[in-house]
Amino acid sequence: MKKKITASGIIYLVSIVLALAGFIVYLVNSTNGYLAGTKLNGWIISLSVIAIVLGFLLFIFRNSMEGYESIVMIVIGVLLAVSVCLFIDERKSLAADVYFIPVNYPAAEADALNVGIVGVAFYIVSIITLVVSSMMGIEGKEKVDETIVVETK
Amino acid sequence: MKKSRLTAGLTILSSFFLAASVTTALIMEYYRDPLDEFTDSKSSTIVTEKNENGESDYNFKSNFTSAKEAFDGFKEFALKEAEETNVLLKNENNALPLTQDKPKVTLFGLRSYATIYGNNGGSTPDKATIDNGNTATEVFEKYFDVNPSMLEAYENYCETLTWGGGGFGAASPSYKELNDKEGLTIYELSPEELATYNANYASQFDDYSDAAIVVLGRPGGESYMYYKQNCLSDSANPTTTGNYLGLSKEEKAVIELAKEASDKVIVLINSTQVMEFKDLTLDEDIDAIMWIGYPGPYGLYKVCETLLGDVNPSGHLGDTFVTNGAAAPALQSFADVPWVNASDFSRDANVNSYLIEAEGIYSGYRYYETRYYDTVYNRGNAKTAKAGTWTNTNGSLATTDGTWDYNNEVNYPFGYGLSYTTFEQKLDSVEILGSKKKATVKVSVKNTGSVAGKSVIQLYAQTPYTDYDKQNDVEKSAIQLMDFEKTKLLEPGESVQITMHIDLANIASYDSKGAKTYITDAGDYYFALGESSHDALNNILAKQGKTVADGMTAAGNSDLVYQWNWGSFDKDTFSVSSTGVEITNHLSDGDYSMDLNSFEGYEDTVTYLSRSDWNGTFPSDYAGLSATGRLATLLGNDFIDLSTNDDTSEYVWGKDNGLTINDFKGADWDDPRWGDLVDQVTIDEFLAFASNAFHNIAAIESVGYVGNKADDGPGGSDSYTLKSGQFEGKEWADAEDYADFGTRVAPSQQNLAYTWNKELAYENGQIILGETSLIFNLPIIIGPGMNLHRHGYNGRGGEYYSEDPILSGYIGSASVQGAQSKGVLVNIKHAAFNDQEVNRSGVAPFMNEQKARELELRNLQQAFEGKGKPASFYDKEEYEDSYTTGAAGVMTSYNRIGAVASSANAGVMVDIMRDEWGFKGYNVTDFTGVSLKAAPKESILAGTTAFCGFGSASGSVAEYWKGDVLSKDADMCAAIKNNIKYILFSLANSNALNGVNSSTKRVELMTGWRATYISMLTVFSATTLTTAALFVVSYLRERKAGK
Repeated sequence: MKKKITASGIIYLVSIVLALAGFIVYLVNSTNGYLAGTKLNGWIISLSVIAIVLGFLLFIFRNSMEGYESIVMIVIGVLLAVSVCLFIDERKSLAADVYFIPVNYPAAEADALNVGIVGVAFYIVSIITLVVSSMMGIEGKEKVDETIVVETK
Repeated sequence: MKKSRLTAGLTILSSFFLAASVTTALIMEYYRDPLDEFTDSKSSTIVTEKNENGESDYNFKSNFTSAKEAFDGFKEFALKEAEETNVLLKNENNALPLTQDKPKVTLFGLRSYATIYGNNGGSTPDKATIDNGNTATEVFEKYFDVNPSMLEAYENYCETLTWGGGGFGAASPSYKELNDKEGLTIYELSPEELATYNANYASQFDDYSDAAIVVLGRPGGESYMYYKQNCLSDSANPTTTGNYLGLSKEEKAVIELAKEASDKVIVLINSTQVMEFKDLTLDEDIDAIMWIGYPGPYGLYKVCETLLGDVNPSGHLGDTFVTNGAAAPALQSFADVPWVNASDFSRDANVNSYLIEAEGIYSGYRYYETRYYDTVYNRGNAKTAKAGTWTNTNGSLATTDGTWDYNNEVNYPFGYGLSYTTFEQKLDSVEILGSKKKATVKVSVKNTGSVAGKSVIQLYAQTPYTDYDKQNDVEKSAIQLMDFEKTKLLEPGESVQITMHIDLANIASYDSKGAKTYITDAGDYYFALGESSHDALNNILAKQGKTVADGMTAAGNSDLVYQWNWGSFDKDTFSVSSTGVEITNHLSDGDYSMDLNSFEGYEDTVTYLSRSDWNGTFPSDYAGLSATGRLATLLGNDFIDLSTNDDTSEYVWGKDNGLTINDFKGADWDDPRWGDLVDQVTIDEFLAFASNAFHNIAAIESVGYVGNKADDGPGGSDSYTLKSGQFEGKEWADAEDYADFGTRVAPSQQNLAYTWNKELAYENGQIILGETSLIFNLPIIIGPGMNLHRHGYNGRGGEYYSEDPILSGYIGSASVQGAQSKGVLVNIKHAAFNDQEVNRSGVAPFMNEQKARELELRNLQQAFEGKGKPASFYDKEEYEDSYTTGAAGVMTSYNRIGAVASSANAGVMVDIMRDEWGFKGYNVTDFTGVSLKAAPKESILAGTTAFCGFGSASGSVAEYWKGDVLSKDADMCAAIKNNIKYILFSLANSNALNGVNSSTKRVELMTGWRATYISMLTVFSATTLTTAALFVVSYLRERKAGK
């Protein structure tokens, strides 16, 4: 059976992709430049990975999970919310260096902070789009779309 | 839309906000102290029950019981200090003082309106004070009838700018757009530009022609990077000298305008950098020049009163005012000189550039006067100068080989300053004690003029430069300041005799090659009085039979000179410190060496400037070096391995001995109970204390220390206003009436040094540091700033005192003593060698041990050993206990010392500071946090007690910043025990325990920011629960309904 991806489905997919982007930025940010060599936060990794995997699974199986999608999306939302908050907490010392005494930090530290802010922004936009898509529902319509068609199992 | 979907979305949204609220709350609590500073809030307070005996627990007393008293008291002192800071440099035909009742004047120069009141960054002057009736214009108009047309032009221009900004921390009283931190732009309006802001700006020149007052200035402060590539002799700065500190064409045009406006032109130099204005000195149409430095919020009152003769100027220069800074040997390496392979190091290691101070001891007047002396004797290749190392008669830097001429090089010498009266000084007697360690010098001073004034006695010395010195690379300055005193206000005809107590340790030279300790050569020694370093040297030359015919710039007076012979070569008298420790090399070889030549692979890299061949040894910048071998390892700031299996069973941690720090109020270092108190503290407690030191002294619960806040100085509190003031634990009733005003109201620290007044510096320590500490309950005020001025281009110079170690050392020592009389745990900053702002975090300065010891370290030593007691204090009972202990705290520098982090250089921090000088206090890094840039484990081993930061270790350091790791290394355990004692001892002897007794506890308070996050938590918790519940209900209904 072919089902058309709705606008909210696209928003949802964007949400999960943004979460993935935020997570990748976190990894890159934590392992390069000023923060190279610092320890990664296991909680951020675990929660984000679970949220993203759940997100993609829900998208793939969205039609067979009708009735449970809202619960899964709430779980994803909470996981992403906690992840981004831990991410922010991890970067607080960079922000303090840069903003409390602005002259006393190396340029690399400001770069690391700025990249971190980009990562946080991805997570936050991801959560916002997730909220929007959760309100609209993501299951497809039983009508062939002229532009985007996805084969489901 | 299904209800369950709507509520699901709202649940996600509210849970996100709830998580964000929790994070906000945690972050706010983590940064509670900075938040309190920035929001002017108070998140906790220390509560003490009344002492059962009815005795006061306050062993340090504030003078101010109300905000009004504090406001008035700070103002009164600021005005008192400002009265003596101005240095009259030129006064042709007694142009000053102005004689009219209220002279009609025209103000010229952008800085006459946008005056530079002080540094930007740390200790910027209190903006609220300036904004409330004390702007430059408001002050000038109180004393003068000011030309409104000219004023209007500057006013109109400045209205296009942003008032307040350009720095960080406290609000800066400056126009944001007029702060170029890199020395590329000189802000001034040309006559054409003036006309665009008021076409009639020149219309009233004739009506306001009693005087034309021109104000010229350069801003400065933390991170002002006036380094060589930016500021010196390039096309970017088309000034009179080719440098940023020369006069721009706009400034010259304004001066020409001033000449048109009045027959009497007065120039005020509003800069702590050494501006280059020899052309004005030589200009017959410029009648008077006065240095005003950075006057602070109230200083202009005293500038005006000095111009009017109500105050007789008594300031003297604390730096050599050169014609062209680019010709100074120290400037040759004042640049951004990166390690070629800097990128090979991790970011954490903070490896960037190096600074080779090849000028050795010859910075400031030590260079100019010594080379001058050698030109008179025609030796040491002193007259010959290669291109780029000497100054043309027009002030520009010579581009060909030529002749070095003192008259072309120096504008005003160190120690110079005029008065409206004249003084006669006589060297009455000199007595050298048998031990040769002390001398007593009696000097009488008579006011021979017609107005009252204060005279500065400057006592200089000359030591012989011998063959031994040449063979062992010991350099000698032809003149060096030994001590100074300032008289009381002397009425015309009045005399006074002052007895000076001279510490002859400061006459000794450090010989790192031969004797490896301090030496005094065989030969003739001289003491000389003089009105400047140059004048004193000319007096010595006269004593030696030299005249103007020999090339002297002026005749000397041999009556002001005392000559004696030291006897034979002496390597013993000054080879043992006051603590009984043998003084020997600590910075000439090994890991802590400051001499680049001592590292393998770098032998003979640096040629130090020598008076045996001035021209042949003139320094360069030594660009193009790579870091290799052991040097590279050291630069990595991770060079001592921790043991994992030492026997550390002798060290006891966390034992309950039933003691509290309150039992140790004022206890001596030798009190036998200290060991028991120290044993109560755990390693983890020490680590928590050490890592949480940003404007904070963390609590140590095991000894009952509840913690305190701290703040940055040295000009007062950077963060608090009188709103937070209190007297002995009770908030001032009238605090709100003065809520906006702060305590940073005195002139700059450099201005203070230029008073040459030790008593005033002591009072500065009592009021500006001491009272600030007491009224805000801030036991640590970071200050005084005591780095030497290596030259006139360090942008932060205004926060430090002088180029000379004795002037800086004794003024700093006086400030420390005054502050400690009020219980301040001073943090002298920045130990040591903060010689440039470019790459100040990470730069590696190298120099020979003679320079290190005879300049920067000798300067700091005076404060650490409590030296330089004013002559007037010897006869007063109230000062009997002063100068009995040295400084109790220090802040280390951002820069390295040699290759390693400054705090990790055990040569300076342990061998010299603690062992030789007997320092037993608190030692904190400068906002490094617990990161590799501070080399934390090496620094703890070197006596560091705290790392300025927010409480966590970062990078690779986090791996070992744990009690169970550090406790396995015996050396580390011993160091931590020592450091805990340093912390507790310095706190117990400071006002940190003011008002504290056994009932003292910390109580948390509600603040605006706490109310905000609590509200957020409450709202979003409720929202999350509600939306989640609604979701469940709607979801179940829909399931039931089969939707």
